[in-house]
Amino acid sequence: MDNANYIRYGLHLQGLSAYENDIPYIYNLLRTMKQAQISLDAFPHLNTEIPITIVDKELLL
Amino acid sequence: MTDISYLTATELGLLIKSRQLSPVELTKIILDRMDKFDSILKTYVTPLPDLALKQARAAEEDLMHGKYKGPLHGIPIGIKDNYYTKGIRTTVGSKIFTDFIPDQNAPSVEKLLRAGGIMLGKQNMHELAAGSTGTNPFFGNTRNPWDIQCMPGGSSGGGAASLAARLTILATGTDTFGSIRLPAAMCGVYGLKPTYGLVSTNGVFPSAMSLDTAGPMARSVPDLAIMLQSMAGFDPNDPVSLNVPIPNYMKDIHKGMKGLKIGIPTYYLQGLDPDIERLFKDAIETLSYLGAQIKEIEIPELSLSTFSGYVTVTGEASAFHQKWLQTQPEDYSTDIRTFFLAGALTNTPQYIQAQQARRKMVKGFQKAFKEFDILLGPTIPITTPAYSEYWVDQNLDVIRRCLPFTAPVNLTGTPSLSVPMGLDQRGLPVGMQFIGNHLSEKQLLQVGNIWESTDPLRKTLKTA
Repeated sequence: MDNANYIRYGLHLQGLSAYENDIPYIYNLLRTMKQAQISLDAFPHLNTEIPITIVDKELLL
Repeated sequence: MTDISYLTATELGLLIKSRQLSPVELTKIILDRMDKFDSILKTYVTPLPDLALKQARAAEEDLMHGKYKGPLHGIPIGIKDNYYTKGIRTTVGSKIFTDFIPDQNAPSVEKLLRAGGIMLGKQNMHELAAGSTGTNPFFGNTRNPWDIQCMPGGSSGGGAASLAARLTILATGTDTFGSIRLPAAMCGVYGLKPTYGLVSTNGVFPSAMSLDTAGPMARSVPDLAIMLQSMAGFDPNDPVSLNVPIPNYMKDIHKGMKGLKIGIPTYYLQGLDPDIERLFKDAIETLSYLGAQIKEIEIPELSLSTFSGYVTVTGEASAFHQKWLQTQPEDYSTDIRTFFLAGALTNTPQYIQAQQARRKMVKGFQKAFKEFDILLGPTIPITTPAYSEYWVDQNLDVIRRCLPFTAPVNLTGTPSLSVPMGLDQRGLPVGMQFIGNHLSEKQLLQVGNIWESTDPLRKTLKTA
């Protein structure tokens, strides 16, 4: 499946429509995130961290 | 005679207290300026001249009866249009909420009004507080008073531009991934993004709930202090509100910075526009001269900011907006719709990894704050761009450049104070940010106040 179809299908599954003109922008945003995800490689034990969530008081104090 | 619209809230407050200036007179002066300039600058979505004058008269009457409410008594304030205001439309800069009229004030608005503040109107913003330029196809693009061809930054662009143009004395902002600090930097004013939970976000329209903060914007650091004094404090109706003692932010605000240890994360030295790089070096020299001990520091965890920031912001915003994205996608402008839809396409493992990255970043900051009192970096790496006709691309590009600089403090919940750093070669302001540990606002304000005394902009903006 090419990128445009992946975007269309992924949005469709969630009841969201994709305007054709939106697709290149969405693709670029996803590409930015994917490229930034490479930064995780420098932290091989990141998966052992407890995720911060909105109710996590540790974040607050 | 001094044009009183140039004075700060702190200066005006003294005149009001000593009855040398009437709140009605002050409010009329600012309303006249709004009348004169806001058709061009578009800093207000809903001006409220009648209400402002009514409140100013009440403030004056209170004074006549010896009821002085404090330093905000009679001071005009612009309210960002994502703070709920009772009986007054709150558009969030969005077509979808054009007719939304809340039935109560946000607690932070209520506090400002109870402290004697005068609500001038609801201020323009980048749609749904989710963009960084200040474009708004529904209510008009806010213009930067330093150069009206340029953007004011966003999302609190109305607040920042109105302060620079003296169409208000104080302004409220919100900051999810830079929305107070970025426009403050572009418009040459001061903006404080507080510790997460210090100021209630109850009654503030959400963008990304785990990052959203509300805070003050002003033309001086003491003004931020008096505003924060009023806005901060525990709100039992806000599940993330901090129940902590609130210090007196004005006390010792003139304390010097001799011996203060400032760390400069090398992360913040990458990808700077030449003017930003030059002015930042100058600022470091000035701070050293003022007595600070400055050293570079590596915080490798900051490299996680872009991934964690994008995934968290777009994912949380997309979840909040899902219903409207499904039923009325045409009512979002393209830049915001695509930003949110990208979040709908991220996956759960990515979101969890983004939150694990935040934990890692908190640890990185905590380690740095064992060695340093304050961290310092440019607020954003770019000088202020002129508006482009390709505004969708431009907004997404400004976010791509600036989010890595602004989002780390949102992701870690730490406070950051953006101050004017100087003027670029075109004469437009640029900013830098002092970053502190959790709940270190008092220290940030002290440091910012000393910095302000160096007169970083070397001149006052004159729009008229």
